[in-house]
Amino acid sequence: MDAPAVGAAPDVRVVLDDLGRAFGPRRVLAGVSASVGTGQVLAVTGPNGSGKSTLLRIVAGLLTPTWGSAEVIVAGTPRDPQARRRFIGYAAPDASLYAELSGVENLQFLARLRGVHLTREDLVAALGQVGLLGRGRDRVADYSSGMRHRLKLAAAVLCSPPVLLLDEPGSNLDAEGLEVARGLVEAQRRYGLAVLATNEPRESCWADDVLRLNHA
Amino acid sequence: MPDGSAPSVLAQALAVFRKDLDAELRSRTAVTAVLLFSVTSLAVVGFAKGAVAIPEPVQAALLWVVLFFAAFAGLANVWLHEEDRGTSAILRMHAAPEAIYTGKLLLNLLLLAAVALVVTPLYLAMMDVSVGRPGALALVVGTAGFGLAAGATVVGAMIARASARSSLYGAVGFPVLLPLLMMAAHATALALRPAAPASDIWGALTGIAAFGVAIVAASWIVFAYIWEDA
Repeated sequence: MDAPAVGAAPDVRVVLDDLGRAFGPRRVLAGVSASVGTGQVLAVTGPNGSGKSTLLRIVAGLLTPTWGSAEVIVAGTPRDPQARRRFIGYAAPDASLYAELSGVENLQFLARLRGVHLTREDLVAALGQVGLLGRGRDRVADYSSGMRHRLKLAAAVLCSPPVLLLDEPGSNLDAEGLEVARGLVEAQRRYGLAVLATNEPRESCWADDVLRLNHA
Repeated sequence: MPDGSAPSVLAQALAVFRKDLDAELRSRTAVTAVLLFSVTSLAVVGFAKGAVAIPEPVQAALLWVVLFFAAFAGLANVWLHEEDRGTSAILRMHAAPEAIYTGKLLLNLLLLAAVALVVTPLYLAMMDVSVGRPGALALVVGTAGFGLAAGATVVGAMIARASARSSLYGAVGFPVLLPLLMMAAHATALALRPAAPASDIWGALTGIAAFGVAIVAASWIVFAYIWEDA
């Protein structure tokens, strides 16, 4: 993948080199190599259990690889697994937000942890871009599964991270929600890069390149 | 894109504390568990005692039995919530492990302080305990409560991701906190006596404070290994 960098987007690259991961005796990933840079979108596809979510969790710094490496290079500097997290927006079906808090409170909390001050207007705009305008004060416990997923997408892109990792980006979304997700992925090209884990052809076609995984 | 500077651990810890406090004020899960256990165990201890006069060391030990089990009934909730509701990945992505531990510790300190403020006077009244040195007793409960909350917090993090958590929590927590409980019971017995030498109470308090500080320091060092996936 050698598409040129876009405008003033930050210099960022994710490089997987002979990446592998085992859970006990079971190999989930083996020999995965790929590279994706600024302005690009990579889709990771493969059958259930082929390690798509595991790959994203390794890139996010949430899991360590058993073999090989997964580098996140920001402004020419490789970032260690903990330090890289602040450059990453991550959404996955098993990564929930806080049901006791409202949509606005969830976003406010996550922004505070990143050291970013957001005004009420910023938060309303963040909710508006995923179609949750007017529901920001409602508790997430009262959201439908599709609305929760929209909020996860809003949280993932909240501080314009240079690396966006979306596991099943269209999960639980209706046609309008899918369009929202597609728009966020497209917009991400201006801020950095995106990696999507999906088996949906309509989602993998948002990407410039596809990395196909098989059972290790 | 984020700028070069990461937010401070203290700022992140306060954000975690504030979030947990908001969530707890709405769900009241931990408060309900802790208070329910405290009141039940106080009632059991009160009935068991009846009209029998019990010596100061036993009075002191019973107070810490109630506080220990009350703490262990509710203080693991701060971790169990994150694991059971699938929010721990998002928290890992956004905050440093030390900040998460500190934020959770702050909430547990607040919860234990609230429990101690309710349980201790109730216990003294129900058990008809006369306190020789009320100020010393307050200091002992405050200092040992700090150690108890710190220990319960780190043990809660250790067991939150294990199966058979309920039995593990007590099984792991009791040996870790046994020295603290013994020191707290001894210091409390001293504080109940009007004639206990101040130097003895001060010595016991120093030991309790050192244990609490050691628990917090050790937790800061090991917490990242407990919290992060391998």
